[in-house]
Amino acid sequence: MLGDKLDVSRQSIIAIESGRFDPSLPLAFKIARLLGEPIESVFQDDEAADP
Amino acid sequence: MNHKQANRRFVTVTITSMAVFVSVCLVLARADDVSAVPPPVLWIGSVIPVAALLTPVWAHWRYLNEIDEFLRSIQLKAIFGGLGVLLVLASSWGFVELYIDAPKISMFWLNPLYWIAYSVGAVYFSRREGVEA
Repeated sequence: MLGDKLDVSRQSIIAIESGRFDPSLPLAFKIARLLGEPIESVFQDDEAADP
Repeated sequence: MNHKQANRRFVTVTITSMAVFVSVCLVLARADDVSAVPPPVLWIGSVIPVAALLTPVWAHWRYLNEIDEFLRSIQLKAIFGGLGVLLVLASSWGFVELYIDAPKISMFWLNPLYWIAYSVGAVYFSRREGVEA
């Protein structure tokens, strides 16, 4: 389970995936590292997307 | 420890300490009626409920440090809501006591009032975010 590997609850993963919660920087880096992707490809910068 | 275990431990410690608090209060009230108990013992016995009241505060602090940031944000919203309700009700009743001569309410009711308001907030915000109890 993703939550177990990141040491967070399943509800946290669901909230992050649905965009209802923005993770802290350390957690965001942890997620990106676990997925083997750069952080920019895992998390979108909404302000940069909408000029 | 996962969040369910941490939550269960927090709830257990809180309920147990509240039970101790109520029990000690009942014993003290009964002891106060019996003048055979020396006043220093009653004074010391009056401090014991304070320890019972501080225990859930400590347990809550520990719980906040054990859960993840998302669950912590829910707890903080519930704490803020509980404090808000407490401040508004306490202040409002203070004005009512002052200007309308309403019956006075003892300050120790603030503690259970906060925990009731916090609990309602915790359930509400948890359900809103889809967190299981």
